[in-house]
Amino acid sequence: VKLTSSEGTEFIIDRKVAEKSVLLKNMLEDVGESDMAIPLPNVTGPILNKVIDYCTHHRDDPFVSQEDDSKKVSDDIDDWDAEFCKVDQGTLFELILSANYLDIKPLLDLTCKTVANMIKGKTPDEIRKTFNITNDFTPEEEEHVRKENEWCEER
Amino acid sequence: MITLPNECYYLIFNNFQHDYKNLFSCSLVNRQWYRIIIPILWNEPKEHHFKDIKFIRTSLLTLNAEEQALLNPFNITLTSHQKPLFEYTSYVTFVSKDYLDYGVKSWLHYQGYETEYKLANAVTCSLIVMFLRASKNLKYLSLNELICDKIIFEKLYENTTVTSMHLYLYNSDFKPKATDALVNLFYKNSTLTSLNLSSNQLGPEGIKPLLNALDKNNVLNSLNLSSNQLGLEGIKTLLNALNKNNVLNSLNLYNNQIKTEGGMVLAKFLSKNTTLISLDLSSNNLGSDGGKALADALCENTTLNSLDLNWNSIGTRGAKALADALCKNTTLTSLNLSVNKLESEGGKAIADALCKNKTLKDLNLYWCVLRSAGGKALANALCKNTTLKSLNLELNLLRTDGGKALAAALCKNTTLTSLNLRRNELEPEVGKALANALCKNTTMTSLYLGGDSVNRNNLGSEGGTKIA
Repeated sequence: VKLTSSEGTEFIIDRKVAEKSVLLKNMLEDVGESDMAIPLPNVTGPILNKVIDYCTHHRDDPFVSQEDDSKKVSDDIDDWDAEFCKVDQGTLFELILSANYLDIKPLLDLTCKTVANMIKGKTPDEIRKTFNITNDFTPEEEEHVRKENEWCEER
Repeated sequence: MITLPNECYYLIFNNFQHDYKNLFSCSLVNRQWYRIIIPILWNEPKEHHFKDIKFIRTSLLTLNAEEQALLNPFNITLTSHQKPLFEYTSYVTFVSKDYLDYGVKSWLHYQGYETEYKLANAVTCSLIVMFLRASKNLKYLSLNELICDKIIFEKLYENTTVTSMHLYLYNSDFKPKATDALVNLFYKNSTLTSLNLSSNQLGPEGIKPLLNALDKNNVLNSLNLSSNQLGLEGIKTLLNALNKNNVLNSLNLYNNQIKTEGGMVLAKFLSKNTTLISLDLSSNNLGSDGGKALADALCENTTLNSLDLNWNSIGTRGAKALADALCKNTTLTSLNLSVNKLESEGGKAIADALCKNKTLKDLNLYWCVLRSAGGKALANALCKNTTLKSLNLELNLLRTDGGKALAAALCKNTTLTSLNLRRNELEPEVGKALANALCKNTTMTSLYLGGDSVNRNNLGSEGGTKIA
């Protein structure tokens, strides 16, 4: 199967690897195999490279349906996956976007979980610093949000 | 930072389900995060949240004019009339009257009001009315005689989201009125699929109107009538109603003084019934004859999946009849015979049946006095049976002979995933045998050992470390 990234780089991968993406799987089922490269205008070359790495490593994993894994906790990431996610924040977020676009549920879960772990235990201010987010609450609003929801502060 | 679509944020925050502290921190980050988190945060408040005055305070902010008017007679000022930033309570799926009551009382106390019953009740009432109005997704409601309250009943009658309700009626004066309210809900065929009326001691007469309304209802599929003093008469009324109903498939009749005679009536019903999937008859003193009658019914019944006969004096004779039934029945997957004195002989009969049966997955023989001989027979059965997944043999005087036989069986069996051998007076050599067996066995995921001071298992340190 041929894929082209947003900047036009061509990637050739096994169909089995490609089928980890529900989007590609459906596409391949619809059009059948052809020599035409599938354009992926939303994914850059370096990110697509990472995604292919992931799909190749997990090519033999059984397909997990969405209902099964609703109760996963955020610390059961295996070594390979943890190593895979040791990237800069920009790449991590691009991976989330790509996994979402290509519909690769396990990769999406993994990357979201990684972000969740980065959030865990931090104060709102620390979270904002970590992800470079601007606080757009007015002070009054922030006070209201705090007051109206502080019942869940402790536990 | 790269902005993600909301659904991705939702997935990230979902990792914090029930992790309120982290969710709370996230909600304060910015407006976007706040909007995504509030529905997760308010989805399923826990007991201690309902009991928290801060939770009550915010909930009270969401009362509308009509609900606030319910508090007019009491001269009570709500903290501030400023509307909350969000329709928080629209996301709540679970409301318990009991928990709310506790929280309301603490809140009243904190605000310096007298916590007299009428006032607290009115506040709780206004909150329940609010939840019934505001929550778009209310699924579970636990209520008491407040169901008789006109406004609450009206809201409940209009409600189309509540699927499960727990009603506890300790105040005798309200029992008939509450039952009437339920009958009206039954007739309306609301969305209610599960009703729990346990421990209400309604009695055969009290429950009658409700049961008679069952044949008009085709939504309710689970009914818990445990501890309601139904007796033979109540069971007859119930079965009459069930004969005209083909939706109710899960029934809990724990502790209802059904006795042998009631058991026989039930057995007759079960032999023809094709709706019931799960039946709990525990603690009903059914006796050997009751057990035997139910066993005969199991030979004909082809729908029941789960039967609980815990603590029913089934005895050896009842066990033998049930064993015969297990040879014929091909639908039952879960059977609980715990706390019935089956003795070795009863155990042997059940074991023989397990050699033939291909459907049972879960068998509970806790405290059945099976002894070594019963254990050995069951061990033999485990070598042949390929369907049983879970077996509870706790407190059965299996001793070393029984234990060793079971350990040997584990070398051959490849289906059992859970085995409970607690409190069986097992000796160290059983520990060693079990440890060796576990080296070969790859399916077992939970093996329970250990014991108490009287019937302890003395597996010895070598066996223990090996197992570990």
